[in-house]
Amino acid sequence: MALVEPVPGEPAAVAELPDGLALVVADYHAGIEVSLRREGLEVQSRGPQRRRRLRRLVGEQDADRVVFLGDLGHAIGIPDGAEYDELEALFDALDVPVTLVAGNHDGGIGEAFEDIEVTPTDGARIGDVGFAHGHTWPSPEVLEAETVCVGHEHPAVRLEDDVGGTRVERAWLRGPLAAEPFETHHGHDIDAGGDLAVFPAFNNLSGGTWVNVEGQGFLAPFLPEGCPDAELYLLDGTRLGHYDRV
Amino acid sequence: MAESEGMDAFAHLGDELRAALSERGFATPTEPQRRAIPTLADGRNGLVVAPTGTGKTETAMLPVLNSLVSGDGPPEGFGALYVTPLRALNRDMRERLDWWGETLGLDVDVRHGDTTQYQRGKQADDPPDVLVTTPETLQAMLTGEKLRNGLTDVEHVVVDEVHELAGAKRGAQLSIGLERLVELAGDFQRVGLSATVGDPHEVGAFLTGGRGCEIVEVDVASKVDFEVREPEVTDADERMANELMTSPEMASHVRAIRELVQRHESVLIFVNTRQTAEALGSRFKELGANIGVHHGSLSKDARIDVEDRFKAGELDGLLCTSSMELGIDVGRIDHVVQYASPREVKRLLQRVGRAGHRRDEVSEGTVITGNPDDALEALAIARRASNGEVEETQIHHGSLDTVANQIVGVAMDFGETEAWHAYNVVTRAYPFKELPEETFREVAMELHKNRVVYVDEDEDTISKSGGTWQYYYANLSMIPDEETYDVYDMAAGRQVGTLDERFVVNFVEPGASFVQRGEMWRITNIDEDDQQVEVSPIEDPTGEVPSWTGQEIPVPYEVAQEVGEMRASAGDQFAAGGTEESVAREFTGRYSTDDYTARGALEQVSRQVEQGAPVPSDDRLVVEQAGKTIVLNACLGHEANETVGRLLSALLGQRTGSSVGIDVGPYRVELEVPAGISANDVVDLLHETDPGHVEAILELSLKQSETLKFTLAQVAAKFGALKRWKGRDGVGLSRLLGALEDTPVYDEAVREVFHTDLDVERASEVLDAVQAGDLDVEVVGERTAIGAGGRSSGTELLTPENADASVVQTVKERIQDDRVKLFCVHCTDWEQETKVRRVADQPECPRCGSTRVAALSPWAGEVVKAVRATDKDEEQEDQTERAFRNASIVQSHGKPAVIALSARGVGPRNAARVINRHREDEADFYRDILEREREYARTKAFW
Repeated sequence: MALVEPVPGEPAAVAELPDGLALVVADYHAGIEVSLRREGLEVQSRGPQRRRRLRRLVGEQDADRVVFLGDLGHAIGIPDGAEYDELEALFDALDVPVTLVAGNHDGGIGEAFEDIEVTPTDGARIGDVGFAHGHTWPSPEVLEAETVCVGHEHPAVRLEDDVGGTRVERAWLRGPLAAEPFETHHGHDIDAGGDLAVFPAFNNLSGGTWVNVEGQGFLAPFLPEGCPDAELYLLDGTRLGHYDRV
Repeated sequence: MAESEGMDAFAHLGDELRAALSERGFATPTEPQRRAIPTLADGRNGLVVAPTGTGKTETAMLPVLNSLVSGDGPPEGFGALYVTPLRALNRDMRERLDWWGETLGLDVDVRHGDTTQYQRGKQADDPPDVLVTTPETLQAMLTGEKLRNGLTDVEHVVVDEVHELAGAKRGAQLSIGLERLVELAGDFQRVGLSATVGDPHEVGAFLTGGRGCEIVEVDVASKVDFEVREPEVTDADERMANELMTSPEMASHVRAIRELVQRHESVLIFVNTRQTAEALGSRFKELGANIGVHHGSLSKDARIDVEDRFKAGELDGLLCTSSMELGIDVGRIDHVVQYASPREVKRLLQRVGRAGHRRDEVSEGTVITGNPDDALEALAIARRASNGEVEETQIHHGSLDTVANQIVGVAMDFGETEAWHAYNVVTRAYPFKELPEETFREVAMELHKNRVVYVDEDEDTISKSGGTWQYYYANLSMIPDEETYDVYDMAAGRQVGTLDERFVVNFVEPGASFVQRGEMWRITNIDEDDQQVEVSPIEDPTGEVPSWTGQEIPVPYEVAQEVGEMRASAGDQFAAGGTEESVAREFTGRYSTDDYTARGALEQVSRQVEQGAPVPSDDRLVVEQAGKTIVLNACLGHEANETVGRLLSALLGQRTGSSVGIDVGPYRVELEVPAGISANDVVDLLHETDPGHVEAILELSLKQSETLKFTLAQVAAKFGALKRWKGRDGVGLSRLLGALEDTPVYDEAVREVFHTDLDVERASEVLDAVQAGDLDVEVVGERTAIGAGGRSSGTELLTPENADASVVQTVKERIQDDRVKLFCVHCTDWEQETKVRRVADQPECPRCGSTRVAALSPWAGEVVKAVRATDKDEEQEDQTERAFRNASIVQSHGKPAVIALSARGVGPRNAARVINRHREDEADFYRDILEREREYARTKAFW
């Protein structure tokens, strides 16, 4: 068993941390419907479904804590209205401690919910696992972990059959870290010998990067150079191979 | 009715009207006037079915004007509304009505989208006696306070071109709009003007909401004369083809049309698509022909200019699309050319009906055709037209987005109203008579959720809310507004035109070609973000077939069947030894065409018989295959073929997990299938699919289709679920689908696709007939003359819900790229690491020549060590045994064993099982391996 092991069939993983098992999910985007509505698409909030899904996972995996790998919220700034309500209901519903790895959408959550532990934007190291959202460069300490978890990318893969039909699926990206780009950024040696795991988005309304399609650039500043041999996995465990050759 | 009867029709009108008539010089009524004026002057509802230009407008308006001037004179508000679907019509109508207005002292005015604020204000303060307007403007008028006041006086509503409206959502909306008007004005007289339709009583019911309607039908069929002609290519045509950089056939068409134009005074040339208008127009221009072009995407000024020049006789011919079908007055026309098959009987009648309308004059028309399908179809249509066998109008029943739109309308009218009242207003309209109350409630609740109206369930009321006003004005029209992509010529750095989103997503891919601005373009790139299609001009378009020829008018079942009959009849004659001459002679005896055209039309049938292949006809389907292309030859018309094609593709897709391409025409369904599917599979599906399941299967497969996503976007806007006025850049169509599943919006989109593109009932009947043995199905193992003789209308890829073929394919590629360590367990000397794809079909040790070679993981160094060890511990014994089992499977199965053993979680025992189970089907072999890898990920380790 790897230190960070995806839950088959789910956009979530469990990580073994010194103080117990953590359920890790990325890009939850609470309140996304508010912004869809602003763009003109009138959708009912799926907040309750998201919350139930997460609670079920915590129960099934018997997790001791939940790590949100950034972009727990959707609006930039201090959450209010429907987003605040969704977050509040979510925190109330979780009976385990919550860690939020700060992402680009999470600026105000720490202010609005004081009992939520929020990491710096360059991530945090818990035991041998490094966590960062991925919108910016992770700290050297995070990078030197055995497994580094990031979100932000919403990786998806576009698969084509012989006749030409296509489908798009959420996917995991995972492979050995390449230290060099990080060393260049930080300006000193980094012992980045572990693996990088890029998480699929937990929220299924949020779109994504088709990592195997040319011209669909990566969002994270350190990809793909920071993990040139990343392999793609579908949520059900199908190993698809090197992201660039799928 | 005898000729003399009704000659006194004008006597039913009052003195003022009769005086005006003689001043205008109208001494004798036209046929529709003779027959309709007595009824209409009596105040009854009526539907006048007659060709354009037979004084239809006056037929309706004379009695209406008469009623307005008699008695106490016109009311204070609007006395009569004249509703017409086209704005372009109004200008012309107005000129004619102005005269009557002035002479009779009535105020006649026009109101539509272009009417100035000043004029609108005037109309609200002092309503004209007669207002000419559009269905959408009526929608807007129903909400203005002063205008509503003026509308309370409406006594007559004339609906022009009602046949166009009856089959469209626009018309469904108008039908409720008229009921909303009844709420204000009480019942009023309704008069409809229609071109020839198959079922005038349905159209009458649509017009009046089933209040009773006198039908006055003028026989058109006996007053038209058609010829179908394929021009013979001459030497001069060959030369011109070079000059115009086009095919000799196209050149011969251009020449034939010019000859017809020169032989007559004033000729209308109808084409079916804007693209054809563009292509043909540019050829005429190059030749300096005195022929103008008129179609919907020209600017209003350009259209008016060309209409005026044609009317004034400055142009000899006018090239036009259906934009000219409706009654825009362009003066006298003495001949009509239809370029390519008109596809529907009613269309041919309506178009040719534009020629020659002096009393008892016959309308003459020529259909120019260019290929066998087209020619046979045109012949069938011309014969049916002469016999008055016209298609029925499909009233658009029960469209829920129209209900949504008009619930908001009723809320606007009343501010707050009881739900049952709104339900009554809606269901008085004919297309909604059968609307269940439950469905009405669901629609209202959806609007409530989308914050467009407020529904109080306890009080059972519907009322205006904050979003009502904005929704209503953004959705006055039920005409779908599609997003468009800019077409950009990269070489010249300029915009060429626009393409509809529907076209771009379904058919556009780099390399595809199409015609625009009379030039042919090849697509180099599609920029989804900027909604831009980048193209480069095709320098030498000779012989190039455009990938897409524009949205074609669907060919009805009956017409396609008649083409099948003609093929059967010709096929029998050829089979009995008939020559091309003799069969063509037999055809020219029965159809209005010449020998050359008949021979061209029958040429495919002749070759089919020569080839010894069965002739697909009205009672025979022929399935043929060459490689991955399977063609179902079926004379069922567009909608039934679209349905059968989607059905087949859904079932084949389900079976293979792969997408299937379909290209549908009225006579063929061409399928692009994955490997392993044969013509016999298609035949089996026709024999075995339960006809009762067609609808359910299609509904499921529709979910994945682009067609549905588009319709969904249109429908969502009408439900207020997609607020386009907010801009929709961030919302892709797929996300839209995800967000709206399980809502009435989704149901309506499905219903709409079924109504407009498919014919489930007919497709089920076809399956029934096949299964009862009434419809023959034959298989041919090669392409046939008829099967290969169709023209593509673009291939759409349909992907099944369980589309795993792409995943299987990807995993196969990955395994081929995975590394494997080959190790000879016989001599134990040789080991080699390589990619799976480089492994020989039967791996052999280069040292000792043994085929007992184990396929191990590249990291299995300790296994090699274990086999070589002389003094083995327990684990090494175990590893050695496994390596031997591994090698013996590779020995007996060769490379497939290497592939299976390279997969994660597949040991020697499983590998043997997988190989034995799927000797036949490679895809299933990989599918099974994939399943084992997933199992491993689930139970052992994900990565």
